[in-house]
Amino acid sequence: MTTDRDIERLLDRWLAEGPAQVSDRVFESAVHRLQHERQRPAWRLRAWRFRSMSSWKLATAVAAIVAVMVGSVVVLAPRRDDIATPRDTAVPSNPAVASSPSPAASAGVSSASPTCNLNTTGCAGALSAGLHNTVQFVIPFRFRVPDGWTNTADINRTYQLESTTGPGARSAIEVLGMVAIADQRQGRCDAVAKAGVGQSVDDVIAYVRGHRGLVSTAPTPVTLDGFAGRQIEFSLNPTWGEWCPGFNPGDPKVLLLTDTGNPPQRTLSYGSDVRIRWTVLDVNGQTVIVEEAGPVDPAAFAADVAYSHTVVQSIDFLPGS
Amino acid sequence: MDRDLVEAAGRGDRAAYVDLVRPRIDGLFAVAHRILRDVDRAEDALQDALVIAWRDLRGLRDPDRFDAWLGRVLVNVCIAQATRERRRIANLRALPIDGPAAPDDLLSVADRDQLERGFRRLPPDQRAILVLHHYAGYAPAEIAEILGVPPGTARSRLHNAHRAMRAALDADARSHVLGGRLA
Repeated sequence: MTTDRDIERLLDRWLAEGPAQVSDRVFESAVHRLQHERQRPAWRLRAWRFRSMSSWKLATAVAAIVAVMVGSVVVLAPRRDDIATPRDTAVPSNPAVASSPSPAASAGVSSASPTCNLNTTGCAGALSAGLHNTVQFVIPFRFRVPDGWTNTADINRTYQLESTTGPGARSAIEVLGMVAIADQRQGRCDAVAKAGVGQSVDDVIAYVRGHRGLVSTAPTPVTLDGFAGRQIEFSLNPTWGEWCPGFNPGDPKVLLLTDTGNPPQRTLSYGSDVRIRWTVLDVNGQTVIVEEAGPVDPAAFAADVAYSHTVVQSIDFLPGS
Repeated sequence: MDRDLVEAAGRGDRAAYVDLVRPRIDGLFAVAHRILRDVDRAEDALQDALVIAWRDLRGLRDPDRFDAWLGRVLVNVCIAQATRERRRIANLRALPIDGPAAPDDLLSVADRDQLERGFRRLPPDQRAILVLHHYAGYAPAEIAEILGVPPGTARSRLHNAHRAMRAALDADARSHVLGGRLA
């Protein structure tokens, strides 16, 4: 019978074995691929963030991971007591989600052409023109895209689409579920739902409309796939000065959403580099936000959203399926 | 200064990015290899992680956090790749890993073979947890933050991974005893 202590000891020793150097060919190949890969605009990379932590913990964690990485280079078979390890430290916020990929992700993502969002492993990658179904999003839906769209996340709380070519090459769509208004208190951006604010369509719209950190349009009634809701556009108020820990000071943020987990783990905040249109819907009693994001410049945003909105309008919710 | 390189790379300077990641690739590869148990796939994961990191570097707000961020990218790529490949390799016999083995009287060839088989049967996120814990030395709470799961989930996954490994080793030992008797 193998004991737990035996297993831990064996794993310590066994995982210390193995190669610790990679051939130059691999790096050269990666460098070659970089020549054909464009960087994504920062506003596209606004992502769900995880619980924040204090700056000293961040610094310690960074140092610890560097130590682990460097230790791996210089020590052929590092062991826990051989290298600087971060047992007593925390790790940075905004880590990756380790959700299981969907079947679509398995079939659709080539290792030579990664397209999934960093914060999830569930996505279908590049989409062919035509009709597609979500796999893991809390309320299933289908939609139609032309060529040039990529599914970058498909998990229970969010479904993301980005365009990569065509007239709306900067367009992005995110469908959000299982969210609540977050509480941005005293410069903190913790995953805490704001007390006293509901999750209905009217609650969400009223909160955005009344937020002094946002400049928003008057909400308008809409229907999407027969479901009623309200639409609003917003961007950061230039006078807003609050920011979230983990982001650069001087880069103001409005924290708007947190997830509805118990306890909530993630938050979604918005910076000065993005303009947002929310279509907030009541889908059989669940509030769903269809978000279209684009450049903060209103004219550029309007051009991009004109392209992405054809995809939004094709959404066909399949609650209960 | 790496901070300068991160900032330059974030502005689209490919040469700066190459200079930035070159000293880090051996360490990243070592972690990837231990999760994926295959040199070719670890190399693929490393390349993918480097390309993803380049593509999304503008989303990194604090240049001083580059190493942590890059490590996170790599673990995610490894989990995704291991999940994709898991079915394909599930029925293949585990082969000894490449590369030099540390001389260690406490680990026999049979031990290594059993460990290899047991490890390959684990879900990719459990593999990553074991590597982060036993190779990189992270505590469960830290692993939870890296993988984006609650601490309790990380602890239970680590416990389950240990239990799965133990079950695999015990089953393997029993099969060898039975095989010997039958022979």
